[in-house]
Amino acid sequence: MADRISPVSQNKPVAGFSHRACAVLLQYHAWPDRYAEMARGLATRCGLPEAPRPGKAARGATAGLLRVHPQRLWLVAEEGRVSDHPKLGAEIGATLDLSHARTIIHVSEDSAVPLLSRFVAIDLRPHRFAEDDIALTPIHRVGVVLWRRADGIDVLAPRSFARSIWELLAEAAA
Amino acid sequence: MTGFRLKSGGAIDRGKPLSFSFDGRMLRGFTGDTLASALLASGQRLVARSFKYHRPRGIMGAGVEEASALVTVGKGAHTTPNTLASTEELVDGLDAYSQHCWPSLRFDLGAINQLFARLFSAGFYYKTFMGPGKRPKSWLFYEHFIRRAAGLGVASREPDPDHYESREAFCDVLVIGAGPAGIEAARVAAEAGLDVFLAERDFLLGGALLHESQPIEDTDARDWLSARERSLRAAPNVRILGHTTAFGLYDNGVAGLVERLQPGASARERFWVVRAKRIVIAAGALERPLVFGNNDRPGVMLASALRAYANRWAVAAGRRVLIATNNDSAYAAAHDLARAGIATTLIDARENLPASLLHKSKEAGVELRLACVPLRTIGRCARAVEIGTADGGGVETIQCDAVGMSGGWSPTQHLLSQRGVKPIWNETLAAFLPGATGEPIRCAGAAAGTWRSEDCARSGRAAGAEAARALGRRAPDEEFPGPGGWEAPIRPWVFGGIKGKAFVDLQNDVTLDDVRQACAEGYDAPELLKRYTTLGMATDQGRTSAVNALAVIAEARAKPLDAIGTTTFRPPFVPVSIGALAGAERDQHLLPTRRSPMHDALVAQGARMLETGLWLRPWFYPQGEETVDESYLREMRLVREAVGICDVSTLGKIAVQGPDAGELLDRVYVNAFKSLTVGRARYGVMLRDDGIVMDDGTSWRIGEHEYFMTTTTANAGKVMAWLEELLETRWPDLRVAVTSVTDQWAGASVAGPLARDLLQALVKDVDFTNEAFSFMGVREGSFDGVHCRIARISFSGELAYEIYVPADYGQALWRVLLEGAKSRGGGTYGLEALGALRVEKGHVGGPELDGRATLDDLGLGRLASTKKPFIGSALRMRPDLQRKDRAQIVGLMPVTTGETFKGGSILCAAGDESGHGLGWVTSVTESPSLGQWIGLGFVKGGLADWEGRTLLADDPIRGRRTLVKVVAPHFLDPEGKRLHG
Repeated sequence: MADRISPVSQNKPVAGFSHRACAVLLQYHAWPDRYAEMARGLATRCGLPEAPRPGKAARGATAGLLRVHPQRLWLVAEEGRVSDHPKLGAEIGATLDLSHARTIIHVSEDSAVPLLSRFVAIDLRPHRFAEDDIALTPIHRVGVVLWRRADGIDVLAPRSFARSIWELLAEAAA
Repeated sequence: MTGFRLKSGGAIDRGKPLSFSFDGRMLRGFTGDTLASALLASGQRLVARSFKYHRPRGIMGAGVEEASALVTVGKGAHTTPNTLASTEELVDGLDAYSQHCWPSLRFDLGAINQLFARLFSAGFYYKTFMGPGKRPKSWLFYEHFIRRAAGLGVASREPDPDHYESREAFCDVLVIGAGPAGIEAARVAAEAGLDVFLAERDFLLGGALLHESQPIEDTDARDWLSARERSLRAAPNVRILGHTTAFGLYDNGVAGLVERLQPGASARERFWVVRAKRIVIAAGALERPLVFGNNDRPGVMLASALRAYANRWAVAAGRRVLIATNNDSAYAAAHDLARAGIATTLIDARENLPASLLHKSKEAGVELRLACVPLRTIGRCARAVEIGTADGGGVETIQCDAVGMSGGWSPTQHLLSQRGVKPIWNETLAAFLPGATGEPIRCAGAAAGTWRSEDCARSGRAAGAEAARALGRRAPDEEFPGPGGWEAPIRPWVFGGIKGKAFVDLQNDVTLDDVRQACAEGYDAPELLKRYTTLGMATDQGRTSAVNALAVIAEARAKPLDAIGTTTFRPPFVPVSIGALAGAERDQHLLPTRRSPMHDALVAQGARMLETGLWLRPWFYPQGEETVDESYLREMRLVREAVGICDVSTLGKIAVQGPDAGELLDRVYVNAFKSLTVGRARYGVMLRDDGIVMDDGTSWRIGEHEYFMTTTTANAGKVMAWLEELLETRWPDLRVAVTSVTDQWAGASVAGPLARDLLQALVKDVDFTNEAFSFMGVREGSFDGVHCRIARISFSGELAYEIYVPADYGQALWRVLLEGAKSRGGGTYGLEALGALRVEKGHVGGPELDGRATLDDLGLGRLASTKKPFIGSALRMRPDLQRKDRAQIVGLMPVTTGETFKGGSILCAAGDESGHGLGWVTSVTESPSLGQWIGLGFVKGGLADWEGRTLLADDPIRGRRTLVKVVAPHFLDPEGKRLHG
């Protein structure tokens, strides 16, 4: 099988930065009034007591859930295949594979706040943007999802913009 | 005599001398100096020329109130014009230049303007060049010369080589200004546990305390300041930024700040956007000049500036100083100068003073004259002052080499004014004080009209405590002190007995006579006066002139000053460089760049990339020294004769999912999609509400409840936003999810007679035979274990397919397609060939979908369903959109084979090239298949009126005129045999 090639694979490494692909990124969209049902089901499948609230992520044994939209959850898994995860019934909502649509740029803890605060109008200091907080925000006019992890911040960037954002951040960090 | 450095004192580091130059002359200063203090200490009195009259100007202030000493700093690309010498921190090697003078500062030919000063009175431009009977041409002719003669510094024309940064910051309390009020506000708020951001324009904290000789709260001012600063810097919840000016306040506690960084830092300036829950403005107050004759001469300074230079920078502006005042504040300056050994005379417009002031003056050795005002200074650089009574009597000349003046103080209201807060006039203080604001903003200290340092500190503590309590913290009770603090009331505005030019606005060369004349001519409202005279414009923005001007207006209108009104200050409070506003978003980062998943493979193959919107797309693939024309024609032949592959990943792709997905598409497309069977695709056109075509593309039904919509590259974002808007606002009941999947999929078009052969070899689990996979069919399969999605659709008119794979496999797909194409005598084709192929086929593209065309104009009217409504279905039937003589699409060919014509040409009836013609040419290409140039265009009446007839394609801009024949727009294979083959 062909190898996946990251859009930033050609870029020079930068201290404090790394990138990785989403092994699985599934979008679950619930129809009106079916969100609670969808969220409960997905939380259970992920081994979580409940689905995350808006602006939060929750990590279960097999995958994490991100609340990115009033009617949507993203399921993100570092390993495995899309087919390992459930598909919504048409009466509840729609499931969409976005595993290649986003590239994860990880900014280490030391660099995250001073670097990203140059581009993001969100208070990213750890006491304000704590672990598993997420935010949808533009960087350089491009909509991204920020996800605070234990060791820094993941920037889930649209794949086509990922190199541009990487280069902007890398230049700012230099 | 001129200024000199005092032997001791000051907050300069005499152990760290610095070298700098002014107009090429090497001078020395010390660490801690500003450019102004170092120039003064070096005896440089003349530093600038004025805006209009080119009058000699010196240093007037010691901070942001400076209106005269504007200089250019730096060389070449690093040039910064209009820099205030009084705020520019001296650094080693700094190069400063006088500006707006020629050939030199000392001998400036522009000074000839002074001879014509009578002509250049208020409203000169309007009266001379504009209005009834004036010809616009005269202004257009003279404007160039006038603008050259008047003005400020000149920016470099070279690209700015410096870096700039921007920062977003958040805090509980933003304190603007680090004088006694700001420091105490920050300290109290921090001690209450709040997150505090303290911004100070100066490179040192302290504000007026930096030159305060009197103790504050029974402690030496410097000791008080040092202790507070240490405490603040040690606090983990306080961020302190020096060199940082708050230039604007915006909605919801957003403040714009600009920080100037030192040479060697990562950037030259840093632009801060600070979001604060509460804001304390402790920006101090600005001393006003007095208005008297020649009050602009070098050597005439604000009294507070004289004091600051002496106490903070150990610089005496002269050996014999006269200070003129109408209030108490100048006494401290006079006393300090006298104690420093400078012969000091103080004249006060007031007649009666408290004994304490008289006693202190006597004790300090100040010669005091009461009931005296300055009438004019004498000398090109002040060497004497004529003084007299307020009515101009009792004239006496006093020799001096520096003049101080104090006409009262204006609390810094600019930031509050930006928020729409009207200041309130205080007659006792002759000052505007902060008005009520509904926002969590508090003015403290001198910015609130509190004059004494101790009261300022109290005011700051009260503001800090107020902020703390408002944010749910405990804080000590502290009352705000009332405004004022002088022992005797001010005697404002003595305009009598003045001799010579008396300037109200020094930066814009607006005199007392100008203001009076403007009032006499009816321009007697502040906003009108500003526009008529330029008073309050430019970098100064009326900081020192506004209140004096209002007083003149009040006098002219015989009304109290508070009846005159004020202007509203706009951001920025200080000039902000364009570089700081742009931050890192410049050069290659001006806009983000989108790259296709195939990008690296395309570049490695030698593709010439083209910016189309934010995307980089392959324009053409030159072989050897091929030009774009040679290359695209070769690429077209590959497609027509063998097989070509083209990266189409940039097409907009939208997943439309849900039980009502078909219903949504039926509503947005003119044709039906609900009835489309799974495994089939259909070309669709969508209209705007007004019936004009918005976009086109194909939508593939890949499941019972799922469509894969493609849009043009250019309109992808617009269509996505449009669908979201429709679902959110008009049809929230539809069970449909729309999601952009443009980034999820990499796509390639495989076109040409050998396309089927190529793909069949690659995707073995799909049957590509015509019977199994007919035109507009959709299949899912795999290559090399990678899932792929394929539709048999054609933009080129050839047998063609679009194949999509998950984006990270895009390069893998491209490589195998390229290998397959090459082995079959084919290759790649780029954007240029793509566009040319579609013109041959007669497909509409971006140039035709220009926001003006209807379905019928494009020859697509037959697509519109009559069985269902759709967006635009009603308004497309408007009579004007149904006119038969509307410009409609046609094909065009030169009458003479071999001749060319250009897109953008106007189509006219031969012999009638008047007006807007009959239509226009949208797309033109050379057609290797037809052996001649062909094009598409719009002509009134379309084919029905013009088929077979001749028009003139007139291109007046490029000077080309070509006779063209009107033909059907489908030049190649109109029956569709190739694409169905």
